[in-house]
Parts: sequence; structure tokens; C-alpha cells
Amino acid sequence: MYNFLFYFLIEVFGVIFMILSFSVILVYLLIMIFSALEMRDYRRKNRFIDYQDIITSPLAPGVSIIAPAFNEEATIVNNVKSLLSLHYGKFEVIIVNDGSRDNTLQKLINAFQLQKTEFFYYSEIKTQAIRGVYRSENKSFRRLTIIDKENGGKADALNAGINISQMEILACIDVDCILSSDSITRMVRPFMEETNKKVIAVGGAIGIANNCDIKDGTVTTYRVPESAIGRFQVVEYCRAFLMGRMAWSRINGLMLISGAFGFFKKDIVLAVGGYFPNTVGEDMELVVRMRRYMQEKRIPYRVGFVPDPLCWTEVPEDEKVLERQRNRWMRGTIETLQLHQKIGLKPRYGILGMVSFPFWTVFEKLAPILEIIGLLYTLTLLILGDFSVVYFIALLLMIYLLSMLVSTFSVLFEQLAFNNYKNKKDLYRLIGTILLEPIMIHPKIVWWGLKGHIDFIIGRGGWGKMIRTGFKSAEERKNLDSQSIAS
Amino acid sequence: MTRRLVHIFVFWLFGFSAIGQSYDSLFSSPEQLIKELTLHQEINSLEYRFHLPNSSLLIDSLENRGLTFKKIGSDWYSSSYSDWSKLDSLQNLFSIGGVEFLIYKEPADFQGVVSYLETLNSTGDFVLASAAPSSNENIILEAVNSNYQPRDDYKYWISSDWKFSAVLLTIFLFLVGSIGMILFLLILKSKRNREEELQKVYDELVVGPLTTLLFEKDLAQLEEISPEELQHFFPNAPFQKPLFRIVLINRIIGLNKKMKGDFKDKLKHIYKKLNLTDDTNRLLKSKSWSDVTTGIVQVNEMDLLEFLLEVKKHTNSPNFQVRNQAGATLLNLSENVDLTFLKEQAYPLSDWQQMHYLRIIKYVQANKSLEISVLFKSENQTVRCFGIKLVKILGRLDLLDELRELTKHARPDEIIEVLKTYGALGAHMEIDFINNCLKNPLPEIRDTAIKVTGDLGNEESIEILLELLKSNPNIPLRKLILGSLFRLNREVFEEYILKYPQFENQSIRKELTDQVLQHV
Repeated sequence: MYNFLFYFLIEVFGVIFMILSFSVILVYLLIMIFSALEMRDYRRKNRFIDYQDIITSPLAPGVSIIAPAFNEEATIVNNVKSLLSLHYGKFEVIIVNDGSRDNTLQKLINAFQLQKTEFFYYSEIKTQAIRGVYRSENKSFRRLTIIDKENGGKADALNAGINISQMEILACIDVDCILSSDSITRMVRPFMEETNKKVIAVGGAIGIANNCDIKDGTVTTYRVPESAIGRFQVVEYCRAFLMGRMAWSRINGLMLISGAFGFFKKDIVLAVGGYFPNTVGEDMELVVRMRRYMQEKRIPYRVGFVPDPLCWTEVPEDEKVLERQRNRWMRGTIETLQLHQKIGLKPRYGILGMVSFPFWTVFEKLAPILEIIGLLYTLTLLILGDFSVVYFIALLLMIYLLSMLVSTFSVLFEQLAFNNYKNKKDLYRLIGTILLEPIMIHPKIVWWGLKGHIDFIIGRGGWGKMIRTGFKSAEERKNLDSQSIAS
Repeated sequence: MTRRLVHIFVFWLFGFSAIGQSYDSLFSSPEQLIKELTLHQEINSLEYRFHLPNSSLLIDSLENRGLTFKKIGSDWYSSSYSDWSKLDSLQNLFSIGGVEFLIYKEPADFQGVVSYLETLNSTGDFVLASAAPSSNENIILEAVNSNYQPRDDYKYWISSDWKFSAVLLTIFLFLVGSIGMILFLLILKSKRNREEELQKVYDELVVGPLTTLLFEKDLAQLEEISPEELQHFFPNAPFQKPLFRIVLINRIIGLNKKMKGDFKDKLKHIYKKLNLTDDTNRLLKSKSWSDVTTGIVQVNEMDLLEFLLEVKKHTNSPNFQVRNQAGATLLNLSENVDLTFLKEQAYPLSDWQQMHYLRIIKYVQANKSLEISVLFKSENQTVRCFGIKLVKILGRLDLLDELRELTKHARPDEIIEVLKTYGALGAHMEIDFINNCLKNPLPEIRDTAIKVTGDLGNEESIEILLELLKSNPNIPLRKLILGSLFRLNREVFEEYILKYPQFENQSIRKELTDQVLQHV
């Protein structure tokens, strides 16, 4: 009886893994096709756009740039200067000093002639206590506001910025990001173009600044990073931003906007209660909650994406740092999917519930677990002697080819659309990375992802009770504020 | 006794030898024989037939089933059969008849058949089916006894394993698809690179002659030159090549944007003389939205008034880019800035379109008359809202009466725009409408009215604001009301704070009176 059950399970697992393998191939081929179509349309539209109008037009929306800062004394002044010099008419820069233990605040006060004001801070979204709001008497820095607050994490700092923001669009960024001077004009366009649907958020592509030349806050010469881990992240970013997000944008299925560079409609952010501070995946969680809100209210909406290289960041080239980042990303993904588990496979939530959510669950959240189970399954077959070398090689070949194809396609995509990496040597190094990535880097990524699962289960990294239960509705997060702060 | 015992022993021995004999014999009974025979298909020279009693009725019915009989004496006999495996089924048909064995076509009884089979068995020509050795005893014997059947299945062993076939098929499709896609991209990139190089070459062919024409010929001279002569200014220029014409058009449009006065006219003249308008016309009639948009942009940049009718057809295009550019071109080129096309817009006007049109309207209104009020009559709410915004941005105080008329049937978005317009234009005469809006149940309208009241309010407004404060509004609303009150009447504001010195009110007061915040 048990013998039969065992072999039956082996057979069932075999079929499941085969279906999964085919699904991976099908999904990635579809992603490639959708992203190509979206990029073609985007580039065609761009030919007719004049971005000069928007800088001075009275009809252009106002933008509040919110950047949390924690122990950034080394770079904060230059970063803020760079933000203040963006080409746009109606914008403000809000820097939230999230309880830095170094001289971040003092450096800002000195550099921008700041004074503590009597600004009446009202927590429409609950946050940690505010120590003070600073403004400058110097008219040159009239756009700048500094909030000094108790440490509460990135989400909490962003919420403080949202509370005092004056404009209708929120640009939530990492303070150490380098923004192109025309980044606001380009990111605001999708909000202004749409007529039949409300654009609730727009994501931007992130470029990798390691080893690049930077002048006046803009990357002037692109070079791939020296380390293999850095180069791997270049390929990965091409895959994620130029392929993945473009494809999801095509079917209005985007569930993630990078926390380093994302634009949001303020009224919707306030309606859903702002960022959720109890998760490490606050960027993804906010987008999912905003989308959920629109679906529940039955308001037609769209989440846009701009593929132009407008924002650059430095990626970790140290394995330990990268491991922590991936662990955090995985926990953030699990937490978000757990919080919003109610939307999964519910036709009421449209593309979000029927396509995006299942995709993230199977191909992102469960990916490391499935890969490990696959490995164990192969070992079991090997021990039983029921192991087909032909099958194994065929499947391995198939998956390796897929990985190669997707990565090559994304790099080619970058070459066709933007052609940033002009040096042939850089291209060859990227191709080398593509060939080695499935063998050298991917196993580590799987392992770090798995550790993220383990950390989530044992509670390392922090997650509250409400993550297990999830929100009943998108607006429910507001009611959890008091609990979150208390806990 | 001893004799009796000997007799019993002999009898026993005899009996046992009989049993032993019967055990030595292959078959002990006719039933066993028939059972064994039915397990074989054919046995060399051993056949059987059925004999039936004289019954013409039965013979007739059996002959109707295709069986043949012959009469021997008084009995009927069937034809002989050699396939023993059919014995059972045939016996069911001849239920009232009996089986008769035939050895070498001659009738034989049970013993005769047994003896015949024993002979065959001894020579190896007959093996008992029930005694056939199992495969694990002697695989070679099994092979000898098995009928040969070609196993065609093994020829297609791949197709027999559906999982492996699926894997192979997927790998194949995947490889073909992916390689095809990469090849496509590579071809596209190389094509683009080639195009870029060609464009550079063509651009070099174009720039020199264009400069010569612009700086060495005046407009009158250009008018006299025939198209053929004009083409001679461009030696080696492949005018028939589409890419060259695109480069030429783009270069002319580029120069037109940068230059002023006479040069613009010369460029337009060259554009027409070189028949580049044919390209524009072709683009306008294309089915691709990007081609049509390109054509409209060319009409706009080169002032090709003859195509305005064609452009007008596209003002209600379902494609956003097409209708946006068509609208902009009509605004830019039409003699009188006729906004009727805008009034008739079926699609909502996006903020982007409004921004685009506003720039053109601001530019053309200095020289041409602008009938903004026509937009108030549009059935499209976004168009009406745009009309109101135009009043505000262009400072058209002359349209305030029409705005007042509009507010009688206005929707919330329009009321909000009207309030903002009143605020921007300082329309004190509309204070009654603004005060009414302070009591509007819609928060968006009420909040906008509160903001406007700060600059335009009167005594009645102060009363309403104080009434609103009595309803214990939330902090953002309280801040808004107190802010307006502060600007409207400082004394009333201070009185209120003295009367209600709660922490929030005191904090709001501190913010409103903060020197740094007032300064920025």
C-alpha cells in the first residue's frame, strides 16, 4: 500500500514538474513578446512628444519628491542639491531624516540655511514622533523641506513625508539615487496622458551606476561593473525592468514599482493609508493595496511604467550585502502575498487576481522551494534507479536555454532601445555573465531566497500578526495603524 | 489369510499400475482431451467434424448461416475443421450433434486420438499447452514456443513515451522560437545600424545644397526655379529612395524650427517644389497611426494649408497621438482659431492634450480671435473644463458672465474649476456663488471654496466659516478654514483662537504666523 503510494507520488511529482517547466517557458516567451510590443509602441509614441511644454505649463501636476535618509551624512548635501536642480516647474523636495545617528541633519541645516519652523504636523497616516520640520529662508531652497523624526524605518519615513506633502503626485525615491534632470517630466507624462483610466502609479527603470562616469548628477559613460556579481545584476536589471515590467505594463498587471523610484497619485495613497510599516516589502505592498482599492471600488485604473533610463543606483558587489538584499526582497514578497492572499484567483480582482498574483506566487515566491524540491526529486529518482539521463539532460538543457534566451533578449533589448553599453568589450562581458549565470550565480540566489522563506517562518526580520491574517479590504490598513504603532 | 493378503496385494498392485498407466497416458478422459485441444490452433493431420441426426429443419437453418453438410447414410456430417480453438463456439451451434475426430481425414475414437497425440508428443511435434515451461524456467524454450510477432512499437519508442515526446517537441519549438526571436532582433539592430549610417550619408548630401539655396537664392529666385532644376542642386541625391526623402524632410523641418522670417518661407517653398508634399499626403492616408501622426506633424511644421481638410478628419481619431496632433495642427494653422472641432471632441481631453493645446492657444491668441465660449457648449465635460481653465489662464474677464451661466448646470469638476478661476481672477462679484459653495455637501467643492474665500470672502463668508468650525471638523479641514479666516480677517481669527485655545488651534496659529513659513 505504502509502496504504491510512494510510486504514485513520484509519478505525480514528475507530471507536476513537467507542467511547471513548460509553464516557465510559456510565461517567459509571452513576457518577451509583450515587452517587445510595449517597447515598440513606447518608442513610437515618444517620437511625437515634446517634453519642454510640461516644465512650465500651468496645467502640469505638482510633484512632491520624498526621500528618506538614514545616516547619509557623506552624500546627503550633494544628493539634495541634485534633486533641487531637476528640470520641472512645480515640485518640492521633502527629505525625511529618519532618526540618523550621524550628522545628516546638521549637514543639511548648514548647507541649506535651514530653520526649525512651527509647522503643525498632523499625522493623517500614523508615524513615529516628529522632532521638527525645517525650511530655508533662502529663496533658492524654497522647494526644500526637511523632516526630522524618530527612527521608524523607510515606510514610516515615507509616510511622514506624505503627511506634509503639498502636491498631487508623490515621487518616492531613495536619497542616494541619481536622477536624470528630465526624470520628473518623463515620469509625469503617463499621469497626464490617460483619459479613460485613472493612472494611480508609475514605475521607472533603474540603471546600475557602479563603474559608470557621473557628471552633474547624470551618468555620462556607461560601463559594466568589474565584479561578476555586479555584472549579473546588470543583466538581472535589464530582465526585470526592460522585459518584465514592460510586459506587465502591457497587460496592466504591474504589481511592483521599485521603492528606489516610483511615482504615486497622492489621493489614492492617502485613501489606502499610505505605506505599511510592518513589512520589508513596503514598495510592492503599497502598489498591490492601491490596485486592490481601485478594483474594490470598481474604478478603472492603470499602473504605468517608463523604461527610459532616468534613475541610477549603486548595487551591492559584496556577496553578504547582496544576500541580505535578496533575503529581504523574498520576505517582502512573501509578506505582501500573505497580506493580500484574498485576491488570489478571484475574478473580481481582474488581471491582478487572476494573472499577476498567481504568477508572483508560483514564479517568485515559491520559485526557490520548487527548485529545491526538484533537486530532491531528482536525487530520489537517482536512488531508486528510476532515473532517465535523457530526460534529465533534456530538461536541464531546456531550462538553461531558456535562461540564456531571456537574458540575451533583455540585453539585446537594452541595446536596441537605449544602447547605453556602447563598448563591445562590455557587451562580451555581459554575454559571458549570461552564459555563466545559471551555473555560478543562480544557485546562490535560490539559496538566499530559501533562507528568506526560513527567516519569514521563524520570524526573523519582523512581521506582525496581521501579516498572517491579511487585510480584508484595501482600506483596512488604516485601522491597523494604532496596532502597528503600539506593537 | 496369507493367500487373501497376496490376492489383495496383487489386486492393489494391478490397480495402481492401472492408475499409473492412466497417469502415464496424456489424457484420462475425453473432456480433458477436448479441453487441451481447444488450447491449440492446429495439430498436424488432426481434424474434427460434427455429425447430426436427420433433421432437415436444423440443416436448413445451419446452411443459412453459411455452413455446409453432406449426408452419409442416414446422418448428416459437417465439413471438417482444423482450428481447435474454434471448437467451443462451433459446439454451441451443433448442440444436438456430436464431435467426431479425424486423423488423416479418417474417423477416430478417443483412444485413437490419444494414441496419435502421444506419438506426436514423443517426437516433439505436440507439446501440452498446460505443461509449457514458464519463462523463468527456460527462456529459450519460451522463445521457441512463442509465436513470432513483430514489435513495431519499438520502432516508434519515442512516440510511445508521451512525456519525452512533449519534452522534445517543446525544446524544438522553444529553440526555433527563441533563435528566431534573437535573429529577428539581431537583424533589426543591424538594419537600424545600416539605416543610421545611411542617414548620416544622406544628411551630408542634403545639408550643403540646402545651405546654398537658403543663403544664395532669394524667394523670388526660388519661385522661378523648376522642380527639375532644384533637384540638380542635390548632385548624386537618390530622390527616389524613401529613406533619403525622410532625411530630407526631417532636415528641412529641423531647419524650419530654428530659422525665422524669409528663411522659413524659402524652406516651405523648397519643400513643395521638391514634391515632398506627396510623401506627406501618402502618410496622412496611411493605416498606421504613427505614419498619420508623422504626416500631421509635417503639415503643422511646414504650414501645408492644403491638407487641413484631411487633418480635420483625424480630430476625432480613436488614437490619442493622432487626434492630439490633428487638434494642435488645426489650432496652429486655421485662419480663425476655430475651436468647434474641440467642442465636438468625442473622447475625453487628457491633461496632456490640454497642455499641448494651451501652449498653441497662448501663442495664437495674440493675433487671432479666440471663441473660448464655444467650448462651454460642448457635450464633453472635459472640454467644458478646459474652456474654464482657459478663462483662468488667459485672464479672460470678459467671459465671467458666460461662466456664471455655465454654473447653473455645471457638474462638480466644472464648479471646482470655476471657483479656482474666480479665485485667480479676483472675481469679488461672484462671492454669493462662492459662499453657496461653502455649504456644498461635496468636500472637494467645499474645500476649494474655503481656499478661494480666503482672498475673496465677505462678512457672510466669515459667518459660514465660523459655522463650519462649530461642526468640529477634522484637522486638515480645520487648518484650511483657519487659514482662510486668517487671511480674510485677522481679528476674527485671533478672537476664535482665544475663545477655543485647544492645542490644535494654537498649533495652527503658530504655523500661520511662523516667519519662515510665511516667507517661503
